Amino acid sequence: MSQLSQPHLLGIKNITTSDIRKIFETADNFKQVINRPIKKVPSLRDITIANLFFENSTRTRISFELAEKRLSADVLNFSASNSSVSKGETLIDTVNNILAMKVDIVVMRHQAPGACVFLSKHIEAQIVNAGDGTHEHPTQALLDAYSIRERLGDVEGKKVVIVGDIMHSRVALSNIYCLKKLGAEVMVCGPSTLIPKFIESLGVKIETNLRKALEWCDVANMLRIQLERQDIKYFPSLREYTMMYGLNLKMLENLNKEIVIMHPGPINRGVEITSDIADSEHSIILDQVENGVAVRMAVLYLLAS
Amino acid sequence: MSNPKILLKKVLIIEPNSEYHREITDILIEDGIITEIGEIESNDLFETIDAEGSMISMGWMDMRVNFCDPGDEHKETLASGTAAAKAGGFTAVAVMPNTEPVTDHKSQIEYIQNRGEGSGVKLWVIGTLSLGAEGQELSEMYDMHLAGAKAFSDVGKPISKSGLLVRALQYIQPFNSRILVHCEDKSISAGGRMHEGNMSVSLGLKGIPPLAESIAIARDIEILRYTGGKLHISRVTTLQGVELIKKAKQEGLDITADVTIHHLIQSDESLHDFDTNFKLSPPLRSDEHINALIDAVNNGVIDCIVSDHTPENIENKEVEFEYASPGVIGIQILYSLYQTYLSDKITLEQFITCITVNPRKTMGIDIPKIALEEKAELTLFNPNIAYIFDSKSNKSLSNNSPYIGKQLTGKAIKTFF
Repeated sequence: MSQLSQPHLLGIKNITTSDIRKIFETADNFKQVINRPIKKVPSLRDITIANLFFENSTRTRISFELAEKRLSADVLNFSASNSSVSKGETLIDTVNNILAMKVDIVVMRHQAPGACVFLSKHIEAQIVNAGDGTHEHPTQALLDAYSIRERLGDVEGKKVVIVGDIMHSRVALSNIYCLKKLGAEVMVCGPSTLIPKFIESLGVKIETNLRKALEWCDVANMLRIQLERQDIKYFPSLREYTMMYGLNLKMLENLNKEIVIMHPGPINRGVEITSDIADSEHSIILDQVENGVAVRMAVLYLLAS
Repeated sequence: MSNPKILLKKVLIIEPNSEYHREITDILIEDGIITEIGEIESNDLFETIDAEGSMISMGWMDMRVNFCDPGDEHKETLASGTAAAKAGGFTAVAVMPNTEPVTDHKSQIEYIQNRGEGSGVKLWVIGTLSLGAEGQELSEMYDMHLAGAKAFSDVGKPISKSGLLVRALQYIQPFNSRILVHCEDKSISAGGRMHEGNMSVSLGLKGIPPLAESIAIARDIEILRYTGGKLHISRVTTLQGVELIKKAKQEGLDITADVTIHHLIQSDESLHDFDTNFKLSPPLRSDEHINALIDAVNNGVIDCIVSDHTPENIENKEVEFEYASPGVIGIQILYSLYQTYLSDKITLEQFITCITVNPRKTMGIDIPKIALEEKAELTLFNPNIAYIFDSKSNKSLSNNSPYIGKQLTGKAIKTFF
């Protein structure tokens, strides 16, 4: 049961390029569906999906929930704040209790890296990783690449820079895997303290100067600075981060070319990017959000059928 | 009790510094004493063991085990731990003081020693260096020494206050003990979950660079150069660490070191699917470090090979990688792991030296001999027996081992003590 090479979507690292292309082609169809007056298809009728969010999330959870509802799946929402996790129950027990109620697919977000891999070894259901700690966030990477493809025609050969806290970012890691599989050139840019020492082994370029990175790229993906995921201070202050890595409209106007600006959201306006960029025609941030629903529909549909 | 007179027939003696080394002969043991070596006729009065194809060496010693008793008896007790040690061919172990409460007074030293009596395994107890292993004040090391402690260590806690290590190394010199240290600069390793390298990047896990170990080893060697005394670097994992120890030895400092059998075999690649049985502290390193560690064993820079036997209950292992406790059991299969994975890289002579003579020299303990009229402290083992290590044959109370269910070659058959 799965049209992809894997029964689960645990990360981009272990899926194939043809899986990614299949997801995109399926998402093309679903994108038409969600723009029709009747936005719903019966594809996943009788399939029950549990959204297990052990870490706070608004947009990813809503995006998955909407994707599931558009596919006519039955949806169950669970978040850690009102759960038995706080009572000391283990992850396997929590999930097995939910599965005992006949759930087919688990969409899980968790703060521990590898939590979805761990779960896949111990439970029966199919698992979609909605972000596991600093490890992977595969559907975000898929929707990012899908949005680049939509805007620029193709991902292959495009130059993409990912800017920000590379070390603690699952979005960065999944994006690198996904973009490399699709033939893009990838660069990471950010404070040296937040770029893992061996990141070049993933086949990416490193640049610590934002202006040079922008001159190189076709697309800049500006990551959200997540201070909550940093155990110690890697830069002195947000103010200084913005001085070095914040993007403003003037910088874009000084480039002698057009580049596309992306952000996985939610934006810290005035930190990673200024408002005038977020709202400009350079930005495809809201396209990313829309495409997120279509891509997640495609992933769930392909896994379940 | 079995027959007090035991005849070993056609056994190959492995004792590098002895005239009998690599000789195939018979050994007669009467009432725990070696009374004859040479061709001996079988006799109804003896229990005869046909040892053809097997080897014998002096009894093995593991310099680093955690037996969790008192405190965590659901993971291991002194009884189950010694049973695992005996099944693994060991006649002596050094028990680390990370018990609950920690072993920082003579009464706790005596408790552990007494539990070992009659088990067939001599328990040498290591006391803590600091009171409560809290890294603040010196513990009563002299009193513990009088009770039988041969060395002192705060186990897995690095000594962050340099002055404390200075005083400890100075204080123990009149009674000739040794300090065992875990070398890690926590301000560098903080938040790290595994070796920093290509694998940590690909898993999105924060890495622990070799620097976290080598900078601490460098500091401790600086201190030793100032204080004199005896220092043991436990669980070396990096090529930089090996280099520093090599230089310190060449300089003539009294420094010794050990490596765990696991760090000689497994690399950080083992963590590719977040298997918590490979989550160790210090972390498994990459191939270049493994090769340097193997070289260091071969050329004597690293003195001892240890199991660092660390039992953990399943509730602490079958969880998300982030939350899993580090550690792996291994004393029962230490020799099997050598024979299966390392016998083409480290000679049998060198390996046996690392688990017999060297740990005893490091701890200042009498070294048994295979010679006439000597007390028989021996391990009989066979390099060709293939078997599957499973939870049934595992004598430990814990099953946290990646080798459960795996076929291994080479097995300890029997110990004499």
